[in-house]
Amino acid sequence: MDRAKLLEEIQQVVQQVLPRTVVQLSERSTAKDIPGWDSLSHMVLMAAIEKHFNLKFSFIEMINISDIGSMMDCIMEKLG
Amino acid sequence: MSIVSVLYLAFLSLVAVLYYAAPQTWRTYILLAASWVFYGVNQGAYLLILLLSIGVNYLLCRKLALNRNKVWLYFALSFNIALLGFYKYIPPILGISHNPTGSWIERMVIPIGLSFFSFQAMGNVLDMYWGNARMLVKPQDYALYMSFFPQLLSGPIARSKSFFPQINTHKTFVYEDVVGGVRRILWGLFKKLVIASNLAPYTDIMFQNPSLHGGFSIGIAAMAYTVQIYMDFSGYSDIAIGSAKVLGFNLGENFRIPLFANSVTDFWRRWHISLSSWVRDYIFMPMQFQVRTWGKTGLIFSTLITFLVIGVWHGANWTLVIFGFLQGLAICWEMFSSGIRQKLWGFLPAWLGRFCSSLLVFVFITISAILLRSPSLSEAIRYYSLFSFDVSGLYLGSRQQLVFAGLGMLLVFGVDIRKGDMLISDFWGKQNTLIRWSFYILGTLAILLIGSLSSENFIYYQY
Repeated sequence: MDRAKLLEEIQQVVQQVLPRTVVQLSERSTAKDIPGWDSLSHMVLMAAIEKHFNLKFSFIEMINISDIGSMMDCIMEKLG
Repeated sequence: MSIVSVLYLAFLSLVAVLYYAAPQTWRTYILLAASWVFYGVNQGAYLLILLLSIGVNYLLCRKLALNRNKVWLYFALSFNIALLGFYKYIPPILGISHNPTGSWIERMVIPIGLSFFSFQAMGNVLDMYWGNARMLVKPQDYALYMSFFPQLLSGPIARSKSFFPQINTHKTFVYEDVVGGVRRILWGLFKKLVIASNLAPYTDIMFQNPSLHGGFSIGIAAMAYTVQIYMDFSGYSDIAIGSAKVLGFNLGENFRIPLFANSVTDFWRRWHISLSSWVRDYIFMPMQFQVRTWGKTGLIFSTLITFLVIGVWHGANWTLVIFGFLQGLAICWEMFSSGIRQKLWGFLPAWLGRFCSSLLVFVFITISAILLRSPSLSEAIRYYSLFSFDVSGLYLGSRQQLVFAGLGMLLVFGVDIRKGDMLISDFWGKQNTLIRWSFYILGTLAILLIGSLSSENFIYYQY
């Protein structure tokens, strides 16, 4: 999967989990740029990403993902 | 040695002079010696508890660094929880009250700062296990992390990741930093002595005998207590952060204008930040990771457990369990009602909506703070039941003290609104010479002339 396609899919998942978030995501988008992405919603969002891409993050990976770019790197690595 | 005393300021000055004059290799030992003298003077033989905690935790960190085995992590967590349990939870659970002439267990008191340095130890060992801080530091650096005197008694709870790198950074005397630290100390003393200590006699009388005064006074005193606890604890934090700054250390912020928060969630991001971020990172996140597939149920579960921990962190009392549970419930409600609330406040002009939501949060925190103040659940219920809107028999304590505290509050809240996210020392530093020196002179005069030493200790020492 190329990064543009991956970003598009992440955008869909973020939109589902945080429905009031109307933000065009980029690789540089951080949790601070995305309304509703906070410590309360972080794990829910990660669980949705795991389900969508059918993969599992470790706890350390999850807490270190703080922007879309690092999330994409982690997914790409797991998807091979 | 109270940190609101001339003796403390002399002690800090002496330590700062020795620290900056000494070669780099001596500096950690100077701070360590100063910290242990400070704790020994304040807590006597309980210094041995601090030393025991440092020794055992360091050995377990060493084991963990050599072999990342869960056993060492569990040993370290169990040791700290057992230490906390022994001093803080077992006596109240067994119904043993403090008696200075009683048996050894009745004579026992909670060592001041135990909750803070134990949480630091647990945070560090978890970071080591998770790989966020794998390197084992030198024993003297670890000992300083656990006992750095500005933050030893009541925080802010330090994080090893930000504290360890600061220890061996060569610090030269930077005039602006030292003056910034002194400004911060002055601001903290003002909050504590001019506001919190002038409110303390009134709230003490009201909470000791609430039935003797009019029902409306009950509400006024509860609000006064909310302001008092904020000024008391944030004042302490200012003195701690300022003292550390004088020595070239940056401690994290502990408060960001919490009484103007527009939701309970927002309040907990602004109140006692070092504790709320600690429980977020070491309790909420790992728990939420385990239950992340439960959806909303998992979120509610983790939030409630996290806030129960915050409640129980304050002590073993049903009032504190309910305090934590109420905070958790309010945050769960806010998580799932943001749409409704946005629509509701959307009918009002933005400023009015914000004012109303902040007012509601303040009332909620005031109601909760009664639980923090009351010695038992029955006392808290009695306090709630005595409240009425009947203003007859209104009691406001000493008018003079209330006026002093009120004027002080106007200044602090005015500055809080004006400075926004700016640090208080930077705020005063950016004023012109006339305003800045007016603050130095009038602030000092206010502390000396209208500051009260009615309660030298800080509310959070008991936790």
